[in-house]
Amino acid sequence: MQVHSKQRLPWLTLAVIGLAMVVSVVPVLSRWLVFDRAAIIGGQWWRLITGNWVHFSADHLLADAVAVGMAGALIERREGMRVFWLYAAAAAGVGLAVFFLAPTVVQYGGLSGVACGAFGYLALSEIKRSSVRRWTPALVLVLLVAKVGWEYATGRALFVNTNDSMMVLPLAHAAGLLSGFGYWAVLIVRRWADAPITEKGDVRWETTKRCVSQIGGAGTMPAP
Amino acid sequence: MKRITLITTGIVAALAVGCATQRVQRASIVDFLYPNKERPVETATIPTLSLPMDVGIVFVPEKTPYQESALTEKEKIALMERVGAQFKAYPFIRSVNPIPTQYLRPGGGFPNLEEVGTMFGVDVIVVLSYDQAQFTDQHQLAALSYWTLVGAYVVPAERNTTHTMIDAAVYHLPSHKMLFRAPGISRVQRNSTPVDLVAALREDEHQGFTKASDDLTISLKQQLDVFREKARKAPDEYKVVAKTGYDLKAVGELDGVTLMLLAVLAGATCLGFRNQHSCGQQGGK
Repeated sequence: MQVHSKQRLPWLTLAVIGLAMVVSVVPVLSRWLVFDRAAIIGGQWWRLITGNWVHFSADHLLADAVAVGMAGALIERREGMRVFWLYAAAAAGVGLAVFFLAPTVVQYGGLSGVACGAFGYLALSEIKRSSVRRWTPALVLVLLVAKVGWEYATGRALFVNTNDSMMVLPLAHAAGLLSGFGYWAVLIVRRWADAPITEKGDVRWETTKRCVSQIGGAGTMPAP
Repeated sequence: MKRITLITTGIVAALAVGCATQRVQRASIVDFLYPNKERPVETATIPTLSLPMDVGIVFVPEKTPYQESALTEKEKIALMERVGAQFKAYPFIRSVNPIPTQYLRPGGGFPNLEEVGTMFGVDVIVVLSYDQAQFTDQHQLAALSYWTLVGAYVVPAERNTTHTMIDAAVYHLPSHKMLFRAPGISRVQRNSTPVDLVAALREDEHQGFTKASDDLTISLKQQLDVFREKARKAPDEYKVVAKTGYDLKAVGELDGVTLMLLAVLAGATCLGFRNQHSCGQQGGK
């Protein structure tokens, strides 16, 4: 994984958080960007993605901004502007999941799904990268998956109070997390496919052989 | 000679004064809701709006069942559909049902509205009423041409003015509370010959309703927006709840535990960064 040490500030992540703040203080923007089922059906499809940037209270914005800021900044420091695709994938994944899998939800808003995507991606990247302290990201990821899974299965948030007109949607967190995992998987496959053929042989083939041997078929595959 | 002059002066004077007629058609919401002139009872209940709402639209029936209505049932339904389209644009409205006037009794009041509400499964009802007044007066000098008979066919000396008001009052049925109202007002003015007077008045009548309904849709949209903001910002006036199986506003909100897990992960990642850098520096040396 490439470290962009020259890049001091995570500009894209700051822009993501800044946009959420601007949307929160300009009610007209909130009205035009919020995930609104009737409007989406009426053709305003951008709301599927932009709904992630709309927040309904200051607490809501603060928690989501902190989460995206932490996870996003670390990923951006390492991967640079490529983090844009992670944000895009998570935002689209959350929007589509809410639209198709939660048909009773009239309005949705919040960056927490995107934050979960960044969280999941960061944890997987750390597990793969770090050889010494692998157990820390692994444990964190297991706990997060267990929490999100429990919330999704029961349909209610564990530690957040809801009221009659507003509720936390665990589906959004699950969809965001899965988008992060999916993005990580796509990058792994791409790296595998783009791996160069070196003097030592085809790295892709070596990698495949190692994976198969880990599964249990060691030594059964002849070299091409 | 003196007598002829006197008669002519009298006729001219009578024509100059002219004659004015007035025609009023109305379906009054007050007559319908409070037929016995009873005083509405004020109760201090907070209406509980179950969202998304099912809205019914009715036209107040005329006071007497056989009174000639200014609007046909077809026109009423068309107007109710126009009004309904304004409501359908909002996500907190689930369905809009135009209800034919035959379902209402003159002076039926809230008991009648509740019956209809139960029948059509609506909890909020838009009650449309109208008031139309037509005035005709003659242009004093031009009306002299009527004495030629031909003038009655060709000189448009009848000045017709039609004032129309359509009012939409939105009631919450369980609490009988009026949520908001929106008026649609129009004024149509034009001249006609005495021969065409009836046809012209009828045409003005329709034009008046069309213009008033255009005005109504504009003011209804404004009032709906105002009401939405009011319901959002004044929880002591309206209680908003979600109907079973509906989530009005879903949020993605992270709790403290998730943030703590993220902080641990971030800490581990930062540590990894530091080690990587120190390793890199050592390797460089």
